Amino acid sequence: MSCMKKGVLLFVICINCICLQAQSVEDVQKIFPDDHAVILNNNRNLKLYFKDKVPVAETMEQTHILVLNDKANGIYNKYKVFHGSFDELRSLEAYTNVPEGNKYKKLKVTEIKTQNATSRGVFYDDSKESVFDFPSLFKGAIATEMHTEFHKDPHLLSPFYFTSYMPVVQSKFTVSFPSDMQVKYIIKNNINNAIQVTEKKSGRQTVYEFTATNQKSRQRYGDGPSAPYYEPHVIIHLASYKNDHNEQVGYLGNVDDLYKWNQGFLNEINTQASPLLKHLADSLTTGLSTDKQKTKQVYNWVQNNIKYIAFEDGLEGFVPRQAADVCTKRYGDCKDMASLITALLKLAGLNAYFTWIGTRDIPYDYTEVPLPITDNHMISTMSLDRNNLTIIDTGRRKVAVSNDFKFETKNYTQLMVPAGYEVSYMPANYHYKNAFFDYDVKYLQTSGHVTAVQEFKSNVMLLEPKDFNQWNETVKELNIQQKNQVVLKRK
Amino acid sequence: MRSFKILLGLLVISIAAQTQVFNYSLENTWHEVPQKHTVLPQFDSAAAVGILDERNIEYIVEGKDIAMYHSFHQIVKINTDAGIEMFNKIYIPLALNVLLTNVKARAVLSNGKIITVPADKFKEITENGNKYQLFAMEGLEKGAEVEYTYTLKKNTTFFGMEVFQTSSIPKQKVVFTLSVPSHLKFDAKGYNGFKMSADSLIGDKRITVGYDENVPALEDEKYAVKSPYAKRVEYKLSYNLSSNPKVRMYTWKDFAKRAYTNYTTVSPKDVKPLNSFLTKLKLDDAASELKKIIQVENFIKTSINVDKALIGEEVSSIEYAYKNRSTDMFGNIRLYAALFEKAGINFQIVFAGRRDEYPLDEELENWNRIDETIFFFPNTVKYLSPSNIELRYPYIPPYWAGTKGLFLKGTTIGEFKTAIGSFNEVEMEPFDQQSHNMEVSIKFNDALDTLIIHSKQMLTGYGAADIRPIYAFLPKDKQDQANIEIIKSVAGSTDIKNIKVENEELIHFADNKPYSIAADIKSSELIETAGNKVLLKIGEIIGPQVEMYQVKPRPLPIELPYPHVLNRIITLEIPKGYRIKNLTDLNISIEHKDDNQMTMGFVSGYQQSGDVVNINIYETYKKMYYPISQFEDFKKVINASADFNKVVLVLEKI
Repeated sequence: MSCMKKGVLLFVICINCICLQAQSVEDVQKIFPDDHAVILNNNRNLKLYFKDKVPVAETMEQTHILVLNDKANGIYNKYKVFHGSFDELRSLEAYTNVPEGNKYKKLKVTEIKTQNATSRGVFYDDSKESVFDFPSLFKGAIATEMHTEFHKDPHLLSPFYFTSYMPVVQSKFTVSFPSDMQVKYIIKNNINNAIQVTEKKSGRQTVYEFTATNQKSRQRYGDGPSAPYYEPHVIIHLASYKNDHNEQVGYLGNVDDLYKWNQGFLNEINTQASPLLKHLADSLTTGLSTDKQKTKQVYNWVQNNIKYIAFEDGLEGFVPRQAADVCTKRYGDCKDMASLITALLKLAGLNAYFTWIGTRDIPYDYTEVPLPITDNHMISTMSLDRNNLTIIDTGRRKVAVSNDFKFETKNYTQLMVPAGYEVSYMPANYHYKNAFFDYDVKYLQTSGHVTAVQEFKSNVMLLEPKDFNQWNETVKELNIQQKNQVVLKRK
Repeated sequence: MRSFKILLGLLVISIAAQTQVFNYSLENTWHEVPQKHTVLPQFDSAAAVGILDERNIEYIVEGKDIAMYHSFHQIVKINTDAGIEMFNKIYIPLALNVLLTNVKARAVLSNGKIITVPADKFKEITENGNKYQLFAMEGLEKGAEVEYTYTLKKNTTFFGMEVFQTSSIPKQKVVFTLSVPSHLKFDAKGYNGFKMSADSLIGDKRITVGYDENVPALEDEKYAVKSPYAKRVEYKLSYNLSSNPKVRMYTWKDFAKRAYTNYTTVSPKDVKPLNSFLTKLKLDDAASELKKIIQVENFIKTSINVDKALIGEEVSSIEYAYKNRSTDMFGNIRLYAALFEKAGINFQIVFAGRRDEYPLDEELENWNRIDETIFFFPNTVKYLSPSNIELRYPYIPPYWAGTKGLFLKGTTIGEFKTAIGSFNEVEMEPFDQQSHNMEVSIKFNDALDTLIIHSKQMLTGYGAADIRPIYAFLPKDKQDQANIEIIKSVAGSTDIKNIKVENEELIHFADNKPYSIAADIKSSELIETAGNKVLLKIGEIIGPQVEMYQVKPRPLPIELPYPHVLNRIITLEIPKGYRIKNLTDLNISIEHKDDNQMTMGFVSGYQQSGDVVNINIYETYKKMYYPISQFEDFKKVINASADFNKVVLVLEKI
């Protein structure tokens, strides 16, 4: 694999020759009149290669921000580059080019602080952020940020997004790899075919290039699904490679590869017998006759006694802790709780399995995207009868085992008619139903009481924009209904 | 714990606090075999209870230096699951260059089992520039005790504060000791009933102790600030007996002098960039002082990025600010001072106290309390806050006004420029300068299912402080969204047309022209039907109002961000063929008077002429502080507006 080094060098040279100001402030303002600044270009070069016969990767990324008006100073100065133990930051440089006559004056960023990047709900996280402030973001200034990262484990490559927190005039994602590797890509949310793809071969190197232009800044919507559902992006994965002996080695090409990789983290988990766990499992399930009762008992015990505390330190993000440890410490993350539940269920004579799932924050499907980015949560799964798998969520929320996703509420509102009054008007009963919602209200009059029984059923988890009209109609309809009041009259 | 161990058992200090006397003996309170503790009945419903909160501050001569050690020892009994969640994750904040030693943590279960946190489980993180040591307590269950101790070696500072009363848990015993070399004399003061001893000389150490017991949690209350009422101790070095026992050290006057020099000295390197700033500023020499103040403020606030976290030796220089268009907090104040000076503006630097924090104490000169800097202009008798880009002269963050600040009055002694420091009130803008007014006219459509509304909301002073930044800092589409949200509060509808916004620029803080937003609204939200009657939820026009239920006894007085007035005028056209029988429901009058002057109140009423009903709703809180004795009346005023919210007019066919 001696050709690799040359490749890295070439790649360093070609990234530095991006011409700075292809477009003037006025040109860009015509396209994005409401924005204070834009990303003029964002270029990421991902290079896969072999190091000590093992696939690794390197990223070089360069971002130029063009300031459109003076309001940007104070709003867009702060800049963060995220990295961690799997994406090691090798270099980082930033500066602002401030216009001075026909030239630019270069103001370097001198202070870059690296600190822990915190994720919500994670107690200790080893992922890092390098933070700095761009100086002088005034109209016409161009802020530049460049960094390189080394990916020691290409199972964990990040997708490339063509949109950002400000508009992106031009973005380019380049992926290069040797012919001994088979690299696949998946393009998501390619709205109006905004993403252009080219594939080139030069010698033993293959290069994929993905580009897009004039992407508006990301919009956030309350109650909306996460960005991967609608923002254009491309996912890259190393499917397989040829090793020294010219054998094809599966890497992350399909669900089997992903399974093998994940299974590798579990080989040594819960292999030792633990008298403590055995005793606990026995005490929880003795005298219970059905598998369902036993499962419920184990689940409740873990829910009530193990508190959620997550340490994300290197491989800790993938490897569950030993069930016996979790039991003594009385805390753990989802993987740890899955470990304890799985172990206890097995000790109680049931079949239980570690299971990775993706919450609905992630729109991918394993068959389409057989990658670690498709899951973010570990649970325990077991078979209660032949046809049905029971899924036991170990997260913080205390949800009963029998719960399912359907959303259904029933409310009783009772009015005691005060002495000396009588009901002179009662609204009519009402029922509304469409494909998604079902609403029903019944008014009952018994001696001295008026009762309204309202039922609401929702059959949707994700309401698509095409269905918004129908939703609005429903809300309107129900609103009118809810305005109807009971009238009491003095006797 | 350090050298306290040598003293063990030697020291007994008595504190006489009013009627009660207690003895405090200094001893090592970490027992290898944990003692059993019981929770007092009054605290048994708390999620967790502090059995011991002990903090020792120790100054020790180490070679030529004096080192400062800070030791903590906490024992907490866990009562509930929520208590476990509160104490199973422990963070130790580590300021810059702090050395952490002697960390020990253990859980003592109710069966006596001890689970010690292993040394390799302590992790360090940096978050937003702050360093923490963190660890998770292992094996926690209800009835267990969490016990941990640690010592910090800090950068020596001769000032400090320890707060013992917090919102989280009650504490059965809290202990404070201050141990200093015998040649130093500190002042230490307990606040809000925290008991302090006089200092005692023991060997070569001078020791002061503080103590309290059965300290309840200071819970959040509506319309209240907690920090000023928390039990705490503050301390500072006052005398060095070995050099000059008569001269009091670290006084406010000393601080004023030092700060004045630091803020107002312009270095030779700064002269040129300062002049370049002045050229850009284009001040008109003939302009009034007021005009110049506003111009300087607007210039800096729109062209310099102030970053608190900026690090580096030169970041506070005017040269750096000119070159990079950014500066830190300190550099920002220096830039203002230099430009005011150049512009011939008469100003004073003021260190503001905060009504919502631990206030500045004129008696105990804790320099660490100095946090916020503002400017005072003796000629206009108004203020300016340099660090708040969203505010403009004369408005400063409201909690910084209405309390005392340290004013630095510049003076010249011979060639030498210095300042005299004195405590004065930072005045709050009067109540009638902060208004939330509205004028609304309401008609029905023919089908009587929609209201046709014209609304105008008008805000002045602090009333507009949350709104104006929207127009200054957000892009146009976000401004449009915000307009809709503001107007939606009138009638709950987004069917809005003809939006007209006036005086939205930040510059109008100075002339206090009202920010106003007017629109035509169509809404069916406020109409309901009951058989053939039409119900008009007119009370909701004034927007949702807070309702107060006080179940527990209220310990804290009322503190508002700022005094204000709300004047709402609603004109209602009754549809033809209908009448309203219950218009008198609109009459509400709740007032509180001090010396025959109304200090707070809610008064609403109406006049009818033909089909038109004019409704006036006047609400005001003329003060920002009301004592606890007026709480019941305050609650009545607040609830009067909530009662108005519920007024529903019933329209009947004639």
